[in-house]
Amino acid sequence: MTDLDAFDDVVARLRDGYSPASFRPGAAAPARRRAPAAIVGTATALTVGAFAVTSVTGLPGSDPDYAWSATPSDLAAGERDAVDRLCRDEFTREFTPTLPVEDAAGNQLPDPGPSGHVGDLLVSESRGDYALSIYSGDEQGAPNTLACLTRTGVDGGWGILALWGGPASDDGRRSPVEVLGASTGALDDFAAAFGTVDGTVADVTIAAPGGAVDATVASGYFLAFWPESGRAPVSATATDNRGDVVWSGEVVPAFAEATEPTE
Amino acid sequence: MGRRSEFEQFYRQHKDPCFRALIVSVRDARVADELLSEAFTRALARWRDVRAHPAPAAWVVRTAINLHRDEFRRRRRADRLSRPVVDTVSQDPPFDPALHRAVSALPQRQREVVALRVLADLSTEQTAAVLGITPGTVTTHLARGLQTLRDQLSVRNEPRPLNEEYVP
Repeated sequence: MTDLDAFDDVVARLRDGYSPASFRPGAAAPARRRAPAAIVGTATALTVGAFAVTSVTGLPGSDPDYAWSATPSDLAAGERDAVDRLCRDEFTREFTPTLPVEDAAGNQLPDPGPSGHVGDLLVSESRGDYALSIYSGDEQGAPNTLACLTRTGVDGGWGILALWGGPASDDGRRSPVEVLGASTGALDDFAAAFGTVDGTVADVTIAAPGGAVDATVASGYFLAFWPESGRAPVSATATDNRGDVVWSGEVVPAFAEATEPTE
Repeated sequence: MGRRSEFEQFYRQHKDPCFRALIVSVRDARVADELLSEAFTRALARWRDVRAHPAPAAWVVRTAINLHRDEFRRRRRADRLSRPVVDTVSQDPPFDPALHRAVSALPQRQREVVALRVLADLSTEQTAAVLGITPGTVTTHLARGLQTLRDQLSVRNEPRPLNEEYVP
């Protein structure tokens, strides 16, 4: 005898009414769930990971009050510090476990894991009123790649627009990066590409739907983000100091090729 | 079995029950989908610890519910930063609309208990642990919630009386 037995009829109605079959091919079928993995093309000169960034604002390109630029710029030192503090504080809140530590009877539950820690700032760039910063994570309490999107002009300072993280992995062989999708909101406003480059690469250009986007190339990384509501792969080209193409391939915004885990 | 395979088996076994429970808890299929994706990704990242939890599925649902609360906080902050965004979430649920209306009208705690106990198929004790309440309280909320649903749904299923105002 359980606490459900007296309500067999209602329980059956609930389980039928919310059966998994009801969701397919519905608007939010679990089969579409973003799980592993989006793989981008092999390159000897360029390793590319791409992911989408959660945003809660309208498209920046269509918003006259908030400019986005196809050409990146550096943040001033003071602004960079402000953005860094903002992002680290937000990540810290995000990765602090809020799970119950004991059950209703007072028994201690296993620790759900360490709080996530934000590592180094790998690369960042500013485009108009927006800035995107990429950090390493600890791979334990936090994914190993973290993105933080911010916007200036908010009460005279910077404000967080979105956070995103995924266990992108670089196996050191200059092979494609595996991206596991993760987000907590609508992924409809920005797409971003992030990856590593070797010493031959001077510039990276993304052929985004709205036009060419110059990526930031610094410290062995490249980074670009652009307004995009779709998930279609876009092409990218890397050139050396002489302008010769040293790599070209596709960047797959996260989840474009998402599949459910398989055996 | 490797950890990855073990997690994949866990994912396949629990994704649908967890999804059902979240839909009822947050009342929005797309939000439930997003939250569950994030929660499962975190479970994968911490699988060594999550697998040791007495109820890993409960861990996933609890994480998703926490994320939902965090998202509310973030959206509140974001609302100060931006003008309103057109909400493109479909308002037509891909499942029994009468049932969903009735469930959505339950008080939050009853809805959460129904979601976890019935749709996520957690035990009374597991449900209590996830929500931080006693098993007895779970039983109470469950009985009240299911009785309300029974009343609501049976009213909707009965023929509408003549000359009597029908209040859905």
